[in-house]
Amino acid sequence: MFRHYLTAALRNLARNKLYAAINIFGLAVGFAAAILIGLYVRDEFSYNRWVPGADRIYNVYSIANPPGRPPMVLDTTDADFADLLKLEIPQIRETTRIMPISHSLRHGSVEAMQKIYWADANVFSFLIMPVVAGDLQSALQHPDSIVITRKMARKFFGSDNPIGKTIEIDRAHPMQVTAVLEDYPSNTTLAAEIFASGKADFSYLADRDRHRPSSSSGGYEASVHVLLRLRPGVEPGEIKPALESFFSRHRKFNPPDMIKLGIVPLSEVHLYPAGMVEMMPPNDRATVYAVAAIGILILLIAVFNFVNLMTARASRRAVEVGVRKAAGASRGNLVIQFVGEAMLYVALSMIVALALVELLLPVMNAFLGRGIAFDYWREPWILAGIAILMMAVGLLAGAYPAFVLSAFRPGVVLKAGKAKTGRMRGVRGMLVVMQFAILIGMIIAAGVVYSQTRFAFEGAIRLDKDQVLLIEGPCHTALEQNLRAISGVRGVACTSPTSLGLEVNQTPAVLSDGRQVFLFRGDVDFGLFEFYGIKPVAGRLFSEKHSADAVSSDPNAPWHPALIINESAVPMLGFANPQAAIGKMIKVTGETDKAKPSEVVGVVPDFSLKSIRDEIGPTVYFVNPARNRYLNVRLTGQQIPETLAAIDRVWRLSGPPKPMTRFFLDEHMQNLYLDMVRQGQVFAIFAGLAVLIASFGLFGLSAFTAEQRTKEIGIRKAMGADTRDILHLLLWQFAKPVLWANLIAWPVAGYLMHRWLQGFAYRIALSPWLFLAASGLALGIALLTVLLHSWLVARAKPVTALRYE
Amino acid sequence: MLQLNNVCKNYRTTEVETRALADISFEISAGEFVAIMGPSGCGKSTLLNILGLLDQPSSGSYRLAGEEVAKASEHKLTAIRRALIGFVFQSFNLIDDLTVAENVEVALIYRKDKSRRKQRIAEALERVGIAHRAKHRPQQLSGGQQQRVAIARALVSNPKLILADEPTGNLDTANGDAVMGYLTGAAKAGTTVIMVTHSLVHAAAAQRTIKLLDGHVVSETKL
Repeated sequence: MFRHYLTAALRNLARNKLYAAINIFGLAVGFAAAILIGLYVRDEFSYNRWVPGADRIYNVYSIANPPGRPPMVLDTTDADFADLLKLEIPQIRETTRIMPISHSLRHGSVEAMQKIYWADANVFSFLIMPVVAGDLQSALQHPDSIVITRKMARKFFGSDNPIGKTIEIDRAHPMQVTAVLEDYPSNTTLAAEIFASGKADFSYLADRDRHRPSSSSGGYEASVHVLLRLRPGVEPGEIKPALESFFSRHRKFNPPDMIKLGIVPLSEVHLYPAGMVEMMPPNDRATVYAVAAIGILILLIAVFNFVNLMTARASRRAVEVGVRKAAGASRGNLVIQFVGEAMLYVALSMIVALALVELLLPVMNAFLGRGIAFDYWREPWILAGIAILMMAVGLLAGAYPAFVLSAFRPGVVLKAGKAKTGRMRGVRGMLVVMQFAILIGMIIAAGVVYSQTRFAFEGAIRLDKDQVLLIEGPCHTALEQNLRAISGVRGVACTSPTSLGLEVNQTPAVLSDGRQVFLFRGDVDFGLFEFYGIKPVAGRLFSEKHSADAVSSDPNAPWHPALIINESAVPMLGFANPQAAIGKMIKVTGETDKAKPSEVVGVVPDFSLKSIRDEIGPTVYFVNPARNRYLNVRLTGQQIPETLAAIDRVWRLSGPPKPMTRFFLDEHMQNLYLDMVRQGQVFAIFAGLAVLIASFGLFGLSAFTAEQRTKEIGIRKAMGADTRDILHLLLWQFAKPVLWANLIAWPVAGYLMHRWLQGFAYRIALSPWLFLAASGLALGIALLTVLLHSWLVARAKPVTALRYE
Repeated sequence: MLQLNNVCKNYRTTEVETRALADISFEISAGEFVAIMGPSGCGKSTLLNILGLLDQPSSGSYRLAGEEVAKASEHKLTAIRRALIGFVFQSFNLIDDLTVAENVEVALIYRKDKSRRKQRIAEALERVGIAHRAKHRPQQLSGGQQQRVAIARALVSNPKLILADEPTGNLDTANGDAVMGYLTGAAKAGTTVIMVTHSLVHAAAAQRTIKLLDGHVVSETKL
């Protein structure tokens, strides 16, 4: 009997090649998308899990709650806390530290800037990693030892085993390679591929250890990742109170609990709410869930198609059902036959899907910068997952037509030669509505993400970023003079990273009424505002003509530089308007205890190069040449390659003895919004896929409908309908579900995208035009898809249509 | 009303060419009631389709209401069909998804004839005694009732020409007689009626009978 069913199924498939192809390929695309998304989502949840015991290794983070300001999370803490935590909280068994800092590394003629983890010697008892050569347990015992990955070994030494060879840090400190690590898999949050001994005398970690802050200190430098392990049986919740009160015992802040500590397992760092000074840019859990949801929606679209086409074809097989029943087939027999047929389609689709996944996975990996593998033959659970997916889709998609078909009464269908399938048509209509609702929703989402990204790149930037190159280097030196002299350079200005929002620094300040507030702090140089085209809204900008504008270079002199505040700071500091702030006195206390009240000389508009996710916040600027370590260089925009080559030459001649770090502001913006750009691309790709699958389905359905309505079309033509009337009739039939779909898509997509936009401090408004455009696009696609069949059938002579009966 | 001169219709498949109609010539004047008879496959329905502009002859001339339509464009055929012709089919050919009233309305909507539409539909249904079923679907009606709806649909637009393809073929005697009554009534009111039938009794209601055999007109009987 099985052979008989198989033969019947295969012949049916062969007879309806177009439907079979649409059905199989549509479902295959859905499967492939679902598998790719499944692999991506699994990868997102697998971060750091390749490190043994990653779920029991915790990273200590700090949450700052400055009064009147939103909390700020840092994935780091101060260097001295590692020992203190172990000492004071008995449930902690062991701690270790890694401190990321970039240095120049040189071996022979190879030199490059690299991020180094300055680490405690016990770091590899936490991060147990596969090694190529050397012994990790003793690898960082000596102050001059360094451990590198295979990739770094090849980069600097050209071999996999440079054990015992030396590499120079900052062209001054030779370090000896003691072990080579296997390259990390892509699902890691470790940002540095080099671990160096924190005991090295010149390392900043050793420096912090030599100058431990006292418990009465008001300073806090969160620059170290402290990792800890708990004693067996201890749950992280048990040390929460001890961690939260820890800070106030070791630093004197006002209020005392302004900073609290917390811990997060290494295995969850990647999807933990993003903090600053993260190891690697984390991902947002909601985004991963959104992508997973998209995968499910795409699969649903494909399954809806499948059900639609199967049921549409089912009514054509009514006579077969009648004959089989008359010959003694039970309903169960028929259900098995039709579900089996659905399974056959599903199996063929899965084969095509697996081929598609093999083909597309390298593309996806390149796009995401990942190394996701699809070793289903090695991972039984993937195989099991695929089998379950097939069974589920086969049963879901096959059961409905099977049950409806098997319920046909043989007498009725044999007499009429067809079956009434009104109910199935209702279900089909509903499924098409759902499909288009999903489709329109995805187009809206892609549009919103795209518009917000454009806004981030263009609308939200309040400074002139055109042709600006940032160079990390000293100011007021020959380097700066030589840069100005290059013909392709229009201007140079100095700044600290904080004034542009590249780094964040908050400072306490005391107002004239004694009130203490926290402000973002921007250390600038003369000419920076002018460089970026920022004009004061009140007062004036800093000027070298005013001798008291800058922080004095004499450390013993009183500290009261002139201040410029931004517009956000005006109400926060209690001024009625920008003009009212001019001439008022504020004491900025974060820098030195010699601070005296300083005069506010100007108010500038809010600006920042921070992500538009974060509010710019009330900021105070002052001229502080000692902190300036970025040269802002504006190019003329002509002969850029030559200008860059000239800049490189100037660096070699008059820059510090290390490789240059330079980047265009545009590149910085690209990196800042990389996740958003990717999200937009992902939505666009999946919306495209949804369009493709839905179009397949609609194409099949239109062919079916045109065929099914042939008689009706004949009658209408006999009654005087012309081609245009019939075309109108058929197109309207397919336009209706798209229009209904808006009722679902608009509110749902509107709500979700509104929520998404809430994640940005600065955002676009949801435009009704976007919704209309998405619907228009979906409608256009639907009508184009069905146009061919509708046109063919509308043009047919009425007699052909009537003879069909 | 209409004139056929040497009308032929050939059907060509990949291997054979079949002549469905050969040199058909006749004339039917306005208000006449004509029956077309003949055995199955003799070309009756093909002839009716050509008369109704649902199909076109392979050769010959067909003048309808003074216009040559044998080679007319699809567009023109549609326009003439709209203006002049009503159909009644053997298998009723009602649209399953529409109600009885909506099925009747189909004959009006393409004529862009909006005047008193509801009232005219109601009157047409009343004339064939099916007004009480106006909101039903075709599947909910008996064959006789369905054919009455089809007749109402053919009458509602007051066509100059009604073409009926074995309108009583699927009906019992009583229903068949009723249908014939409506057709005769229409003819008396001045509508030209051409009816294909197998029934001698029903053919007797016509003023003239044209007999076909193998695509040829073999006899014409005038009562």
